[in-house]
Amino acid sequence: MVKDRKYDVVVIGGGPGGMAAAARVAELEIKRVLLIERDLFLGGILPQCIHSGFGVKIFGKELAGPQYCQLFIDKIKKLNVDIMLGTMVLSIDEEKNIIVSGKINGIEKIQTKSIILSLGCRERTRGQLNIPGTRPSGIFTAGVVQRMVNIEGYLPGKDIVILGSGDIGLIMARRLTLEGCNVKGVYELMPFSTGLIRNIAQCLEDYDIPLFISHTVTKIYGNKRIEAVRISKVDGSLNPIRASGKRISCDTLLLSVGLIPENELSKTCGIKLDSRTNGPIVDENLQTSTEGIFACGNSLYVNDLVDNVTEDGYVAAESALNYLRGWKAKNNFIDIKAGKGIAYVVPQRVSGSSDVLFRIRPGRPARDANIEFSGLGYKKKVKRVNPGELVFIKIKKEQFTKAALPCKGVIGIDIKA
Amino acid sequence: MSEKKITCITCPLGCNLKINIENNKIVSITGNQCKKGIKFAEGEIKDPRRILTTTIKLKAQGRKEAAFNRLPVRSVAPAPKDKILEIIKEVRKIKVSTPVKMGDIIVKNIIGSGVDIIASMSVGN
Repeated sequence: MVKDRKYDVVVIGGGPGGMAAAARVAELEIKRVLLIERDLFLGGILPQCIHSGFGVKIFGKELAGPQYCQLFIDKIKKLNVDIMLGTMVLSIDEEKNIIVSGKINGIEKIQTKSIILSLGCRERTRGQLNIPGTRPSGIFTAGVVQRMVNIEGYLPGKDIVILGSGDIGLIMARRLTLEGCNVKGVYELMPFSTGLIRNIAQCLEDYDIPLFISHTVTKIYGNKRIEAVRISKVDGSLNPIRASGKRISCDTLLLSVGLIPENELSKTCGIKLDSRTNGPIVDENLQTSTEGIFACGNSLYVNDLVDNVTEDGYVAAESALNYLRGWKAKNNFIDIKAGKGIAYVVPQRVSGSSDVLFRIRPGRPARDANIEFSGLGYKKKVKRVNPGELVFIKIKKEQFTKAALPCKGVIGIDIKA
Repeated sequence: MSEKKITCITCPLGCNLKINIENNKIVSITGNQCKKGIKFAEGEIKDPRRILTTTIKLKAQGRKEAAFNRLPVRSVAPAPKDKILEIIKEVRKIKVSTPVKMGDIIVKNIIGSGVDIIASMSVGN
């Protein structure tokens, strides 16, 4: 049981980001660290991501999601980190007092000097797509089905239609096929898949599951249980072509249509959010608009690879330790503007006095493109960009000092094909 | 001579590989960005293999472990691609009880494929 309610660092969220952050703090210095997790086990989404392909960057080998998770759980248990499971954080106030609600101890107040938010993300649901039709059962988000199948041990149905070609959708197409379901097809609204290329190869092509790009679900049929969907082609402006509609029978519809960073808690303490990432606005140290509160993981921006989440967790941990040492962020930040061909950039603002790792999310696929930093006079050639893969570009601090005058407090980043 | 186009699945880059084949022998491999691509392409022609992951029934002894009804398992090394469905069918018959440790061998040399099935995670203690 956790007795001392005063901490130096409280990490909220026990997924890969939070575990990495808590472990790194405890590894580097003797501090009072607390890790708070809502579920009954650590790992966040990892225990249900039973497929392999994790860990190439961090561990130098290919691991299954639960293995990656277990290595961090084993590590954290050896370190001096307090863990609260089954505990939900309700709010954070200006003095960084955290109110939690847990099954064992009820409602408690925890005091801390700094906070790392690693809150994860949520799946977009039918409600956010406005699919017309009836409201039967049998419509699930892909991650919910992943949990049902891989942790709880239930199958959602037999004849499956998947809308959206995000990675979880592709992986569930394979998983459900292996469990004996009939996956009728994966339908993607955009003219390209939003998942990793290798997942299209190993999850769809290996099992002859068809992928239809520029297609979407335009109607749902069925009263108690879903009976069919109407599939329509879409035109260049993503509008359904009426004449192309056809009815496809199914008993389950999986939605893999995007993830939204979870920041209800961040809002309770007035942290400023970026409307592009839906995550907090951060600087290169991953400090949010509130001093002493840092962000990492999928609540900051939606990552493609868990290895990157771990690395961001390390950055947040080291920044929190710097903060405890009395280091202060500058007030006059240089703003970063995501320009042409770019969905978003993290960090959204930089101090200009240290090296910066830019995480750039391309807005659409392009070949032989240039990534240009206006105001910095920096350009990088890339063979191929794809919305499914973040582009990482490191800029040395000298580059900012050199360009201090011309950039006038704003650096724009564009991808030009 | 025939040309085969495949996607390298070794890492998230997903290189598009072109393999030129003549008399069942690889003449050239292009499109790769590292050595792993060559190895993968050779494997795809001679003996295609995939990592296999699935879950098996888990009987929990303690209340805390009851959060998991299934234990995630995997093949230690890639298994022959054409045997995957057969292996999955066989693995499905197995039940285990907690405690289980990551790396515990669940089945050795499953259906004579030369590949072991191990636990991907520890549950209990």
